[in-house]
Parts: sequence; C-alpha cells; structure tokens
Amino acid sequence: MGELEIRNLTKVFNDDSGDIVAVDDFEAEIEDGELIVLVGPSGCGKSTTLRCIAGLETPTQGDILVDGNDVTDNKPKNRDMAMVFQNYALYPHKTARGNMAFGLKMATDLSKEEIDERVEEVAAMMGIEDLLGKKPGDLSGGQQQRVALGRAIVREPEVFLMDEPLSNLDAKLRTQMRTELQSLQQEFGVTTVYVTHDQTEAMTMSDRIAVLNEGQLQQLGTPLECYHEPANRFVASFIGSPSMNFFELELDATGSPTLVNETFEYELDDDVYADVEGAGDRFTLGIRPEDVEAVPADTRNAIPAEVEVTEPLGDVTYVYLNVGGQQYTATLEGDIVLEAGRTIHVTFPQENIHLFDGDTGEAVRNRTPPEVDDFGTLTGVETGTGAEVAE
Amino acid sequence: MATNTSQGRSPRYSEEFKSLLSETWLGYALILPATILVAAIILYPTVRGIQMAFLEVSLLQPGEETFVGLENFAEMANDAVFRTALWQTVLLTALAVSLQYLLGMALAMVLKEKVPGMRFFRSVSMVTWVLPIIVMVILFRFMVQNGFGPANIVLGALGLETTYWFGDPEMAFPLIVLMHVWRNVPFYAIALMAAMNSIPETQYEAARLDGAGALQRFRHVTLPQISYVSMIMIVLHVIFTFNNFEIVYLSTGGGPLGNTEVLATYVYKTAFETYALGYAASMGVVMLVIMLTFTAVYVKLEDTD
Repeated sequence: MGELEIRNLTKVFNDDSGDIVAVDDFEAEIEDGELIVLVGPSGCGKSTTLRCIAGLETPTQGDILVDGNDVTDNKPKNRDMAMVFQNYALYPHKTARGNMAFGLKMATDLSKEEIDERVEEVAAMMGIEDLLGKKPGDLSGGQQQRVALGRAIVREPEVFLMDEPLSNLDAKLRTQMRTELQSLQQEFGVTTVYVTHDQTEAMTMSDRIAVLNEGQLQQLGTPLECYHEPANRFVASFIGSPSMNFFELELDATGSPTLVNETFEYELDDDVYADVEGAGDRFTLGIRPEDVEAVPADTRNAIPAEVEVTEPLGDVTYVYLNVGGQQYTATLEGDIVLEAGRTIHVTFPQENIHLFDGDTGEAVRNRTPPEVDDFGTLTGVETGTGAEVAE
Repeated sequence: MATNTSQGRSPRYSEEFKSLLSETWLGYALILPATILVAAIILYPTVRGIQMAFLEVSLLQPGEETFVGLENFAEMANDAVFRTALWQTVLLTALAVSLQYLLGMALAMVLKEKVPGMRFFRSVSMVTWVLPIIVMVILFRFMVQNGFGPANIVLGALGLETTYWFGDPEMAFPLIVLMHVWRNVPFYAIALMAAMNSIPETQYEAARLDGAGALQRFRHVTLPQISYVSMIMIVLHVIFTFNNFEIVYLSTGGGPLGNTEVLATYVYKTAFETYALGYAASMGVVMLVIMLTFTAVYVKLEDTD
C-alpha cells in the first residue's frame, strides 16, 4: 500500500535577505497507486514539496504520512520511497548494474544472487539488459534515464518520487518516455508524485494535477477539471497551450448587464449574469483560443480585432490578434491565411467564457464542461466492442 | 558537371598536396625552436647523467672519463650510507605522503563546509604551502632552538626535556617528516576539495534515498570520484618528497649521525664534497628508475580500478 498524506506542509528557507516561504500550507491526500503531478512555474515550490516528501528537506511545519504512519522525522532511507532525479544522479563510477543494485545492497540483507536476479528482472522489463555492464558515461540520455528509473523500480518502494525526470531528454524521446513511464506506473500501481514545469506532461500523465504558484496550492484536480474549471486565473493561464486569453472588464448593470472596457462591450446572457451578480463590478474575462469564433461584423458581441501574425499548423491555425493594443490568440479550424493588418471580427460564446474576480483572480464562473465524448457514441459502435475497434 | 570534375581533379589534388606539404613544413619549422630548447635543457642532461653512471668521473679532472661498466652500481650495494639513505628516503616518502593525504582529506572536508568565515580560513590555510622552503626551515629551526624557541619554552614550562631538536638523533627524522606534512597538507586539501565539490549534490541525495549512511556515502560516492585527483596528488608528492633536497639539507644537512640522510643529500655530497661525479650519477639513475617504476605501476593500478 502507498497512501500518501501531506498535511499543512510549510517550508521556510532562511536567507541573508530574510525568510523565503518556499511551500505554504500544502495539503494533499494521494491514494494508493495514484499518479499525481505537481506543476507550476520555476520557484513555485514544487521541487521543495517533493524533497520534503523524500526527506531531503526538513519541513518547517506539517506532517507527511505514508499509510497513516507519520514519517515526517524519518530519514530518507526509512520512508520506503525511491526518487528519480532530473539529472538522473547515477553514480558515474558504477556500472548500470552497480547503480541499480546499490540501494538493495545498502538497505536490504538480500544475498548477492538475489540482488542480481532482481536487477536482471527489472532490466529485462525496462529493455536495458544489454546495458548492465556499461557505465553511465557510455550511455545516451535516454538510456541513463532508463537506468535511473530501473534503480528506483528495483527497490519496490511504496512511493515513487520523480523530479522533472524527462526535462533533459529531446522532444521526441520525451514523448516516448512519457507514455512508457505511464504504462510502467500503471503496471506497478505504485503511488507516484511527479514534478514538472511542463503542463503537457501534467495533463497527459496524471490522475490528478496539483497546480502550485508562489508556494501555494492553487488547485488539486483531474487534468480536465483544471482545464475546464480552473479555480482561479493563475490555473487558467498555466494550464492549456496556447494559454487562455484574458480581458479586464467592468460590469455595467444599468441597462442589460454588459462587460465594458475601452475597446469593446460584451453583453451578458441572463444565466451568466446570475452567476456574477453581486460579485463586484470588476472582472477578468477568460476565453481559450480554441473557443474564440470568427463571426460577421454584425453579430451580437462581435469584437473587432486586427490580425498580427498567423501560424498555420495544418489542422488548425493560430491567429494572433491585436485587441486594444494587446495581443491575443485565436485557434481557428483549418488552414487559414489572413494577411497581417486585416481587421476581422471575433466573438466569445457565452457558454465557453470564464469570469474571474478582477481583484482576487478567483473564478466566479467557469465554462460548462463539455460532455465526455464516449467512443461508442462517436463511432456508432457499442461500448462492448468499442475497445476492440480502438486496438 | 562530370567533365568539369575529371578535368579539375589532377591539378586540384596536386594543389592540395602542395599546400599540405608547405603547411606541414611550416608546422615543423614552428615547433623546431621548442624542440631544440627541450633537447638542450631536458634531454641532454638526462642522457648525459645516464651516460656518466657508467663512467668514473671526478669533479677535479672533468676531462678524464673512464668507462667502468656496472662498477658504480656494484659499489652501491656495499655502501652502507647509500643503503641507509635509500631506506630513509623511502620511509620519509611513505610517512610524509600518507600523512599528508589523510590530513589533507580531513582539511578538505572542513574547508568544504559552508560556515561563516570559511573563505578567510581557506586562504589562511594555504600559507604554509606558499611560504618559500628556506623561510619554513628557518621558522622550524627557530621554534626548536634551545633556550628561546617557542617549542622549548612550552616544553620547559611543562617541566619536560628541552634541547635543539634538529640535533637530537631520535627527533630529527620525525621533524623532517613533520615539515613535509606541514608544508603540503593545504595543497592536498585544495585539490581534494575541488574534486569533492565537482560531485553533484544529487548523487549524495540519491545515496541517502538508497539507504547509505554517511560513511557509506563517503566510501561509495566521494572516494571513487576523487581517486583520479588523489592519484595525481600522490604521484606528484611521492616524486617531490623522494627527490626533495632543500628541506633536509637546510635543516639538518643529513645529520645528526646520518640519521636524516636521504638520497638527494647523499648524491649532492658525493658529487660536490667527494667529487665522485660518476658514482653520484649512478645513484641518480637508481632514483630515476625507482620513480619511473612507481609512477608506471600506480597509474596502471588506478587505470584498472
């Protein structure tokens, strides 16, 4: 079992310039076998959180529990956790075999034969049997990565900790290792805490995402929850690529409720207004690029925008628009070529907009999450046979 | 296109060849002065020294050289002073280098700590290494001076025996070892510290998670990764100590009673006090062979490790 519970975790670093709060009151309950991703910009405290869990840093406050046992004051070796480091941290003078066996040699009383057997078993699973005799210096980045993973797996820990394990790999290998890591994790069913700054990794790999900023947990939820129902403006901007567009607006409720700024007006539907009524009069409107629609000029809530750059990707085109002196992005379907300087009209469908409190950034209204697409209904095939079609 | 290449091929190749040739000759021309210089100041004395080992030459009649074959080496085997000097050189080298290495390692670990004032301490700790040897020897001689030397003042205050310690047959040799150690420990420390600092912190963290304690981390993470620098430092200092002349000559001159005689001082005395140049040269050759063998074996061992 590997249930991990983190309570009120706080870590303060003392520096010459004063106290730096790296992690501020972090809370999470991670179920056995769950893969949770800590994501956020540099310096948001995600690595510090991970290091506190590993026991490499002593928390200033708070408790860390594994299966209900408090391990906060345990040494790293007494936590039954294995960690994969960003730079792999392989021992350069030991062979791949020596690296993988080291933990077993130090922490268990297995015989040399038993250790060898386990190392070879894991190596076979990782497809690195041929590399066991080589030293890290003779291995490529991807191979080192596998050895580092193997070193963690061979210990059969309750919890895996991974600190940006893919960020030193090139883009293609990264995508490949991402899927491989996921399937390994599912195979072993080991609770995993994974740190990354890459929101794509976070979205694709995790069961749940913990978004951190400035040491504080912003949201803990499934990837799609964070995407469609961000708790605040930070999460909305951090999750999704290209990131969400934001407009600062004021509510004018004198006539029909309308959000106004210097460049445009956006008339609210009644159900949207019902959500924001009484929540102040300054709002940030958020709209994902793919939800921006190009419309004729006379459409309701049409906003004039000047085209700055278009980036055709084949299936979609990113159009960078200038609205009131600021740049925004629209993802339009198809291969569209728009000359720079041309003015087009866009609108934001009411059901897809997010509204955040203009002062605190807290979400006041999120878009309606789309229906979960069922493969059976999409293809007209019954669910039972759908899996076979997917193979 | 095809015709062009076939026509252009032969002149192009001859051009290439000419330019290669002229560049090569230019290269030789450029390294010539350095080669001559090296030959004059390193190669000639070495070859001449080896040659002299098989001759009987006296400093008093430099022109007269008699070929004596291996006689010089045979004489060494019966020379008690030589045997003592050789044994004392080996003992001094072994003691000094091992003590230097151990203390240097300890100092390196202290200097590595991030404690306030450590930068200052790091600079100060280098002083003994920067000091000229003659200054160091005078300092030591002053310290163990009878009557006013600080070492003797302390000993006297404690009611212990006082004497000029460099003149004491029992104490002179340990004092020579002490001077070697005192002088070179900081150099070891700085080199080992640099090697230790180049080990990424994450390796220690990985080892902690792997269950290794402090000693095991030192044994399995630190030690293997400073072994290369250790080898360089040990080879360097074995050669330095084995060949060192000034420290012994300036402090005791090999005495008292030959108790601190080492090969370097004995070779010097043989050549310039008894004028037996050939015999001195043959001892020099023995030193050279010992050092070459030591270095080759050590480097080989380190390589296969």
